[in-house]
Amino acid sequence: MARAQSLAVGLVVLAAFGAALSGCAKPDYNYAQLSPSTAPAGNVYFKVPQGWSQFTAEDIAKAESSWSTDATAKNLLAATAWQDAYDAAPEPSLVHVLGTQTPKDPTVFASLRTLFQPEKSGATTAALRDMVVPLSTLGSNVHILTDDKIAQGPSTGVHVVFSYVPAAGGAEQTVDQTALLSAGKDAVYLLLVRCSSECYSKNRDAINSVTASYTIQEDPNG
Amino acid sequence: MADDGNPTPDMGGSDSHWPTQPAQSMEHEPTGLPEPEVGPVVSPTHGRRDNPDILTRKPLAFWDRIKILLFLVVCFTVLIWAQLSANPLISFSEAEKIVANTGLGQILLVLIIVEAIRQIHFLLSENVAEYNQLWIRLFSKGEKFAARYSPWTRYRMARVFKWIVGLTLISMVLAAVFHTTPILAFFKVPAWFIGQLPMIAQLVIYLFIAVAQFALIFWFLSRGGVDVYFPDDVKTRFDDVWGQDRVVERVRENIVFMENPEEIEEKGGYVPGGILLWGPPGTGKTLLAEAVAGETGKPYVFVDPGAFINMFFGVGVLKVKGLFRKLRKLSLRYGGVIVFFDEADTLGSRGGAVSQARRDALMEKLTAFESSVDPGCNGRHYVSPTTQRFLAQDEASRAAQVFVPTGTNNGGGMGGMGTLQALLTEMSGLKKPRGFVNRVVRRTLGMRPKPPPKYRILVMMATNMPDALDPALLRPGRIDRIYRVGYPSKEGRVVTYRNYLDKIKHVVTDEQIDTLATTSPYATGATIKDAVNEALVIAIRDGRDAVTYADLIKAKSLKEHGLPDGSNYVDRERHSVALHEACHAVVMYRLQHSSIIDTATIERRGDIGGFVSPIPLEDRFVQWRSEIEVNVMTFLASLAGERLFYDGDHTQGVGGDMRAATSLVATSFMSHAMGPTLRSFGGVVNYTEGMPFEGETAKAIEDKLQELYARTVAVLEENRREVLAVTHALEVHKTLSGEDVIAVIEGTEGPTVDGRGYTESEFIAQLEQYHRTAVEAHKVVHERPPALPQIPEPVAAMRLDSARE
Repeated sequence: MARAQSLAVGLVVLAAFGAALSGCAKPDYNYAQLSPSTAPAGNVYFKVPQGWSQFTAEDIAKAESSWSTDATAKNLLAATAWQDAYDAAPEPSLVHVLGTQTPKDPTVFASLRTLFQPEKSGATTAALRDMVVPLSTLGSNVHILTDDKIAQGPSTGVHVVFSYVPAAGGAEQTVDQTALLSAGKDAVYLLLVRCSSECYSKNRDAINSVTASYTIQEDPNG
Repeated sequence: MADDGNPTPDMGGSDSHWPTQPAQSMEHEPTGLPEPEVGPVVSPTHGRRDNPDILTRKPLAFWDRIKILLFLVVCFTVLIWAQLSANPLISFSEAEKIVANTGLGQILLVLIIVEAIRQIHFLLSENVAEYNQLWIRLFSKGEKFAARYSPWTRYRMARVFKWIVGLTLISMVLAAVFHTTPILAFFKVPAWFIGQLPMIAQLVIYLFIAVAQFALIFWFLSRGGVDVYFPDDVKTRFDDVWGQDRVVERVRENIVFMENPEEIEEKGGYVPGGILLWGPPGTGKTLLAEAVAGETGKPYVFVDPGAFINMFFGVGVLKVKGLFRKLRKLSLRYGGVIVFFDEADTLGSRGGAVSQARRDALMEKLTAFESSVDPGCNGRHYVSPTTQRFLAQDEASRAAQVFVPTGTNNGGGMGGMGTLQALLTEMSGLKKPRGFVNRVVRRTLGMRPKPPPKYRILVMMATNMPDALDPALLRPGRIDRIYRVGYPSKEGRVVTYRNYLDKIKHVVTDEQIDTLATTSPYATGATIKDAVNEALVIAIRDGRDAVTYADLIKAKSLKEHGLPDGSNYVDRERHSVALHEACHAVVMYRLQHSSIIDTATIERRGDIGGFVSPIPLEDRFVQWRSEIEVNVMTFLASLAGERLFYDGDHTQGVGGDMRAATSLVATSFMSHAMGPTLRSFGGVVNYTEGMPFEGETAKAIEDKLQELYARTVAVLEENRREVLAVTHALEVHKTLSGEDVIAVIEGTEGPTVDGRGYTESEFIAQLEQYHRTAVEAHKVVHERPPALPQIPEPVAAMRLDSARE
């Protein structure tokens, strides 16, 4: 009996110390998630490696509104329900994430935007592929590495990895794009991980872990 | 744990054990307490309290050991679970890391580590004696160091330390709020405060409105119940108080000192500040107070008895404070003030005395319904009021053993609400410095507050239940003088009768008024006024406008003995009841010399079949043994008479008489050395617990009763004619006045009955024959008793059954 008690005490103390020691380590990833209460279509989860800097939603919104002055851009911004951005650069900047120039370190951009009424009819897989870079029009200027159709629950979309040299010039960049349409075809989920092709091959595993973690949980009734 | 190895008294602050004697001293002094000077003694090695030889700590119970850790771990796990359930991507280990990096998680982890270290410390203390002792020594060193400073210095140091810690914490918080350094933060506070002033002012106004509502409600509630009369408002004078000359004289003295305080104060005394008037209801206490108001040249404040009965806590206290504020003001303005609390028993008590008051109330009840225990005649009426009171007390104490009234803290109208306490404080707290300027401003400027002026407040209280008052209220300094306003003297009663009679038309002579005053020893102003009014009612009903002596007698009888039921006895019973009462009356007339008969009646009043009531000729304080014996014989007369006249048979109606006789004999034996022994049980045990009915005491009581019984029988045998005569008169008239009873016994002419016929031998023979036939008829139940013989030349008798008409 006494032995059992000592064992139990030892276990509890050990567990306590284990829990305490775990506090010394930081988690391996940052976990991004779209809060269910604000989601127009479904919940979005993904993770990015620890050390990649996150930008606040306010900073992103501020940056976007300062760059997009025309009415269409503003409407698009208004239709965006949620967005999140990460930069792996030692000196993180939203310019790396949102700018057209090739970033030297991996950047992550995720968003969820509701579609306008006229957009809904044209919401197809092809349209999703061309969502960020018009791949169908660039022809040989773009090198498609992966082009898969994917589905997460009722949502369907594409996963495209491609390399291209931006029109503005600079180094070639590799873009890992995951885009899905919501079940009701009224919202688009987007995850964009990109950096220079050199950086991409160097950080392939980390980038793949981000893309692989991208999860959409849509309420089938919602 | 203090342990410096020396048996010195603990200097405080340490948690010393009591008494853990060193093992060696235990051998020399195995028993007994340590010497008082030594105080708590600690052993050099600090063992356990129950066994000083064990030097390790007492093991903790398993649950006590793990409960805090378990709780903390569970809390931590709940946080992990929350993370896991929120995000499907997170693994357990990741969730653990995330939680550990949140603020709450870190606090929990710190607590877990601290608790774990504490438990390891306990485990070591429980298993390693050296480790345990090391800590005890360590702490005792610290305490020895602290003990070098006096407790006062330590207290000051602790206070400085607490201030420093407090200020540091506040500065850090302020620094965080103002985003500046902790030192600078302090300088920013005043500016911030001024900026916030409008809001603070707003808050103060809200607060004021909220508080003002209550203040206003309480202010309104604390009004009322107090009336102020100024000189000449009241017309009553001391001359209007009749028959209370001694009390009036003393109260007048108080007023004199009140009017001219220098007379006593110059001689080093002080004006007596409080008077309590107590006594039976209707004796003129309130009248006396009214006369004080009429006579004095000072304002007179009358406090309503219901003034301190409140719905809310605290209102009574406010009322008392308000009342005394007003009294002080009036006292300064007019040089004195008189405050009168009528029915002061409503002020209540904080317990204790209340139970006594309840006991008294119980006693009164028992006196009123005494005879209901044993149907028959009223066993109380044959003896003097002193004996009646005594018997009632005896009964009450016996009853109290069955039903012990318990005092509560809420006795009276205001007990338990703090009002009585407020009154007590105000009554004795008059010498405190008063006023804001005096108390606060002067003190702030370093001056001593002025002593208060002399408030000359005369507090008068009146009550008929002094036992219900709190003893603290009656202490000198609050109530200096306690006067009993008793029943008025005979002269007072004469004056009262005359004065009330003078207000109406009457034909009563001075001699008759004198007789009335003599035969109403316990009459008060109120009862006399009532009796005179009742007599007037009787006269008006008879169509007369002048009150006669007979009207007064009727009214007095009606008031004293109540309304008869009006039901007649069957003939058989009428004779036995009349005989029963006649025996009492004859024995009383022949033997009792300190009292006269007031009324003899066989008219039923509830369970009382009839009674003979006496009136003492003087208001006596003590009774002699011979008088008690006569009292007992008066009680025994019923039994002796019934047995004598009914051939040894007797009724149940003697129950009350026997109870009273036994109680009287037992008490006089056991408390007043009137028996064969000298010892008194009164002060030793409560003798009512069956003791008189055991052993030699019981025998002595029985012997005494038998002896007195034999003497009573002898008296009745000698007065056979008188007994039969009174029996006949009672059967005819139902109720006889004392003077008529005497007339019947002595064969003279009474005020309403002519007793001369009762001495004629022929009629006596008729009475004997009638009685004989009645006894025979009693033996044969179905036979009708004989018709009542008619008295020769009957004189128009005054039938005192007016109430039935």
